[in-house]
Amino acid sequence: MFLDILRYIFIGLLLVLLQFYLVQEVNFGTWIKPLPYIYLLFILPFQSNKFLSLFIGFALGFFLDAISDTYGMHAAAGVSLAFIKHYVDKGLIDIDAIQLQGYSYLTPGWKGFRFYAVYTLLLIFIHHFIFFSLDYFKLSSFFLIMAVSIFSTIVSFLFILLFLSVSGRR
Amino acid sequence: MQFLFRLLRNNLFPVTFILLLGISLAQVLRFNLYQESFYFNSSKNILNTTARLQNSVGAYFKLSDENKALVAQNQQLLNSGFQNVMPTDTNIFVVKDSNGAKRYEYQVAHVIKSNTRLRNNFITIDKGSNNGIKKGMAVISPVGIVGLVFDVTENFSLVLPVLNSKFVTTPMIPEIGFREGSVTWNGLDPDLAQLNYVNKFENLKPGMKILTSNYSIKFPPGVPIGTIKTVKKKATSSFYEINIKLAVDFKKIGYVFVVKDNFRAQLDTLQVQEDQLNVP
Repeated sequence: MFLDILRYIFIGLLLVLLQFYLVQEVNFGTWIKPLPYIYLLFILPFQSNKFLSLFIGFALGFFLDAISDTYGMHAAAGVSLAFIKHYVDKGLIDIDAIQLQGYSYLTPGWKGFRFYAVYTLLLIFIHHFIFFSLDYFKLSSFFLIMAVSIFSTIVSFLFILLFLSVSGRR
Repeated sequence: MQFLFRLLRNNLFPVTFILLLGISLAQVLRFNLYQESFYFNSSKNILNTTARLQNSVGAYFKLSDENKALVAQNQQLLNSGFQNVMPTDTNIFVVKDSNGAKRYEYQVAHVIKSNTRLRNNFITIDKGSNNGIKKGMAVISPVGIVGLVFDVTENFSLVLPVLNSKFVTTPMIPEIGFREGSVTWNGLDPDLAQLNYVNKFENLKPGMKILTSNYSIKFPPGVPIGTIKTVKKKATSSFYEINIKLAVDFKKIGYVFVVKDNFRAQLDTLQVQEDQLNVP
């Protein structure tokens, strides 16, 4: 248990530093601003406390805010993602069944890749949309926010697939 | 009262969420509505030391661009000096004395952190209040304007660059005597800024150089902002749509000058008097 907590803290730190030192430094293009650090929320085990995941979403964003001068935008988007993910999990996934089959979090191995892609893309899009809405903070740039969110979601998803394949647990 | 407590206890999860969301949204609103900085200060000095370490490696890759910019600036300074002036008319002679008051003083600072990917970007430089830097000072680079000092700690300052929704400045094009409109950034391409509120009957052409205005009290006059890239006329508006290619490449910015205006206090006093007169 203690080792698990250490492992998650380590992964979280790694993701935030990767986001800050690598992903944010690379210019992918005008419309593409991926935020793959939210991968941590996707690998939290189903049996973990729902309050804990809220605080993890908040802390992850708060830490990234503190180092990249974004005044609360990452924290707001992170905590919203953790909140919404709790209800999406309840609605889309049979949690008892998936735990009996030995999965601690959702992977493409359960119910196939298409289900995983829809579930992940939906949640990433919600997070990115909240983040970029707070960033632009103008109703008149709604379509701009939509476009940036959609393109960034796709690239973030590719990053998350990369992280999944690196972590090596199918 | 008991009902309220029971309601809270039964909905503890949404309540926690709203509490945490409120904490983070308060920051966002603070920035967007009141333009105050809050926890920019809190973590700066520790984390900036690591950023400086990282930058000491990255700085080597920018050296050739830095050199080009500095050589160009040296050339311009050499060309503008008094030593080049040779009086051709014997009736005119130039008197060099120390009678004038020095208005602007420049201080070199090193960029340790910068971002171009968001709507509201910031730049961190490694000089702070210990070096006499104050809020609102202009920051320029050898090739053009960078921004304004937004927040200061003892050893570091936060610069609000052109690539931020809060940045506005007034331009000038001396060749056609043009001084109107405002330069802002629309949040898309970090190379292109926008020039707004320019009437359609102004004779603007692509390729014209845009400088900071001598009517602006924020920046010293005549610092390059950029060159006009495209000029578009829109049927539904009485203003042009103008894109400016920025003089500074914010992705590769390395060294900057912080400008201290020795007359700022006098100008501010006049501004206060003007504001008092305008009170209805």
